Amino acid sequence: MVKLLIIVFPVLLLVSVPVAHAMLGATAFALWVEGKPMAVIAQRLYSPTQSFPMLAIPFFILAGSLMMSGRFGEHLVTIAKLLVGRFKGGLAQVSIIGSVMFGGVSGSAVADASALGNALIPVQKKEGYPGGFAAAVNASSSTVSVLIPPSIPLILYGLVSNTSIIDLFVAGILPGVMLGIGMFTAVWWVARRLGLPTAEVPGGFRAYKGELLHAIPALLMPIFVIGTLRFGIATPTEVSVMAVAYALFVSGVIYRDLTLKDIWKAMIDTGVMTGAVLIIIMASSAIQWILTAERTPQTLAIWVTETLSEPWMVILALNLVMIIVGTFLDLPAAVLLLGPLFVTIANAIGLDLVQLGLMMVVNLAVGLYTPPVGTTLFISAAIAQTGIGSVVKSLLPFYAVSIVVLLLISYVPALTIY
Amino acid sequence: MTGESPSKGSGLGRSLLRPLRIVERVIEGSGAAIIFVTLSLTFCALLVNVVLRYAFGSGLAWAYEIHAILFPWLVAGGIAVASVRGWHISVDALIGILPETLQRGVAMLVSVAVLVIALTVIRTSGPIIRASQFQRLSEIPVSQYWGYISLYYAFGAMAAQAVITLLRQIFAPHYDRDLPQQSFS
Amino acid sequence: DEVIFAHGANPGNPRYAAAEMFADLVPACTGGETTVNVAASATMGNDVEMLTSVAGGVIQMSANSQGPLAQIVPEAGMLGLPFLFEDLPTVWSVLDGEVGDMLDAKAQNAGLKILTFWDNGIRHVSHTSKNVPTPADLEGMQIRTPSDETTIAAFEALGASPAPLAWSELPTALQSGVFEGQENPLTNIYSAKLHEITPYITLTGHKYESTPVVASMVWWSGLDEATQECIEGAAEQAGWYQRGLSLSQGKSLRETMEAEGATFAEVEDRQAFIDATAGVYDQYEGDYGDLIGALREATQ
Ligand code: NA
Ligand code: NA
Repeated sequence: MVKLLIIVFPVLLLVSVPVAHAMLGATAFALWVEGKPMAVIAQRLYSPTQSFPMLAIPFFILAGSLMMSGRFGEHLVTIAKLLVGRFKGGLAQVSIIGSVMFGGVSGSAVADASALGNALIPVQKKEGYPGGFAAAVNASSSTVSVLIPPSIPLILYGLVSNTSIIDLFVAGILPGVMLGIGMFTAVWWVARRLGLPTAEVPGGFRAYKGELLHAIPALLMPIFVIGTLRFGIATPTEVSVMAVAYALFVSGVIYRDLTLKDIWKAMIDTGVMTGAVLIIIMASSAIQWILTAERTPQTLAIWVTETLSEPWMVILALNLVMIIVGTFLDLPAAVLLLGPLFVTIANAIGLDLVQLGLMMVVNLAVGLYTPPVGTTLFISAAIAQTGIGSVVKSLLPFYAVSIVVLLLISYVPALTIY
Repeated sequence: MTGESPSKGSGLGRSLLRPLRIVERVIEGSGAAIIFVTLSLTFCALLVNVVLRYAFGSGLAWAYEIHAILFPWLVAGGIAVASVRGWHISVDALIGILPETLQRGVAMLVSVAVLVIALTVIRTSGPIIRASQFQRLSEIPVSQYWGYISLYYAFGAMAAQAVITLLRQIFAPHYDRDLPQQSFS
Repeated sequence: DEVIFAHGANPGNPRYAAAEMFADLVPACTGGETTVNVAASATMGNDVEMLTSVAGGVIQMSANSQGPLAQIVPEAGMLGLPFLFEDLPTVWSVLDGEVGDMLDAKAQNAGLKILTFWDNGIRHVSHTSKNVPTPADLEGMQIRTPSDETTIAAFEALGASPAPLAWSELPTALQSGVFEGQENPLTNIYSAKLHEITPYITLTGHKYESTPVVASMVWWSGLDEATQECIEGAAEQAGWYQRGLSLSQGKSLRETMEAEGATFAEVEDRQAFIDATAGVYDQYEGDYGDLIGALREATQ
């Protein structure tokens, strides 16, 4: 059955059948040809919806969009300007610091790319930044969001690999900050060469006491999330629900800028995103049934470890596979497709599963700003009204930063395992 | 809600656009209603349960179980709206390099594939859905059947949307709702 | 023919070993015509999902659990009434007799053939800071239970505050102090390292749990009589092996966990617990009076 899958699935995928349908189509075809009971599809489809930890996904999405629906975004930009505006290329630095801070509220890079991109790219262009550069900064830095907790891809990885989501969240902070610092340095280097202006705020911190005070509750959210998880006060699902309550309180009572229409829109968008992500999880659970029934992960793990004798070669091979898959496939889909196979391989070579998770997310996040399919890349280029080619040229230093961080995470376990 | 560009295409295409749009609105509206109800109920049940457990040390057994039925429906509602909005994640890169006439042909084949796959799932799920009738939850006197049938709704909505898309591709090839590319990273 | 035999246990668990034995026995008595593909470690889904899959004919067999079976055959839940069985041999005679046949007949209506009952163990209470040898020690205790009616009712009757929580969330909840303790068979306590968080383990033996071995009715009814006999026999033989392993593991696990710092205690007066939970039986008397009568008679 696996052979049929290997032929049918990529064909369906490449002719642009949606990922979930391609998985289901390949599974159904393989079962049918082999005369196996096809009702297994319905059972596997239903199974992920029975997972209590999976519920954290809609609630973290909802918390993020409730928080961002009001004035929090403006406050965030002001604070970032106060912090890093004095550097050359200040507005680009604001985009990076903003992403790190925004990452603590949102679990999604795409939300980050559109929210901060709309706020910052047009201003940068007015100040004489090349459009391609502004878009490149936004496209790459927004992926920091999926490393700073909460993170939807890390939750998904935790579920497919049976790894503690709390450990993954905690382990994501350092790589996220490392990427932030690396990108900060890259912007600094480019800004000096291009002679980009600073973005100083007249009056400094003192003039913006109000904004600072207002942004504090929202900025406390990541501390709340990590604190409650880290000290075992609540489980990830409970924390996600409390985060929604917290966001409702902050936006509705403190900021007073949350309308019923905002809430309705945030809820429906959350449902749609949940549906679009879950159907891939559900379909991959069907495809996994075939792989499991034929013990494919074990066979593959044996083959890989025998062919590539050294663990470091296996790790390199995993990274190369992910870079290729990540250029084509969206992050969550890639995590779900590769996760179960990679976990078996990691166990065979003694690679820690938390480390593997961070490796996967850092690696596949690069795919978000590589052509041919890169969502933060497309969004940023569209906002900057510039061609993909010029953005990609400006992205080169950021690819370099990401690759360095990826190699560090892949080969220095101390960065992700405490 | 999604935008609608001025209808173009042949006479038949133009006359079809309105009814097709109405069907889409029904799918989208029902999906949105399901999302709203299930998401609010799940949120309230879990929040109340967390508060009760931390403040008084005892939770509500049913509140702990209710997601078993509500979550499949939340997902199904999301899948339905996502179909109408064209939000299902796919790999469009290689299609983009084909000449336009070929692209249209491939797009129609994709709609047919989605339709066939959705109908296959619905047609083959019988034995499992019958078996689920006997699977009762422990605290709530409801069988898993009521959760499982959300699959019929979700895949029914996807099949219906595939038919709508296919009809548009045949009779109104220039219909373009200009939907943004979506990702869920 | 290849039979998929799915279960949720990992290597080291008696259920795992018995499933392997079953897989060896079946080809031997069918002359190699039927082979068994054991899908262990919940690779075919959790217990509830495996039961649905078996009932729907997607997989042929599963060594499952009493709780999920009780969602389909509520009578099976009565085996978990508090302090019902004195010891394991009593359980075996009950399940291998009329009660077992009656449960099988009920299950067949839902598409499941119960071939035999293996053990899952007897549940005991573990606590973060003290042993609970008398009902009074349980007074007000925040205890995590599975989402299971009879267990919740039993601990309420004992004056504790039981609350259901997912198994996957249990370690976090215990560490954070949301719960003072939990209850499980020793195998589960050891495999999840719960004795490191709740080192005070009291051998309450408050609830028995079986491992029903079920087959898909669709598949079963299509088999010839010789094959049916072979498979049923293999399941029973593997069952005795499993029951033996389970019994001896119960003893050895106590020593292992004591060596790792756990403090064990016996209950002082079992009758006091029986009296305190008598009301739970009354709750089910109306619906399952006959069965409870039969169980009482068999266990006296
Ligand atoms: Na984040
Ligand atoms: Na890409």
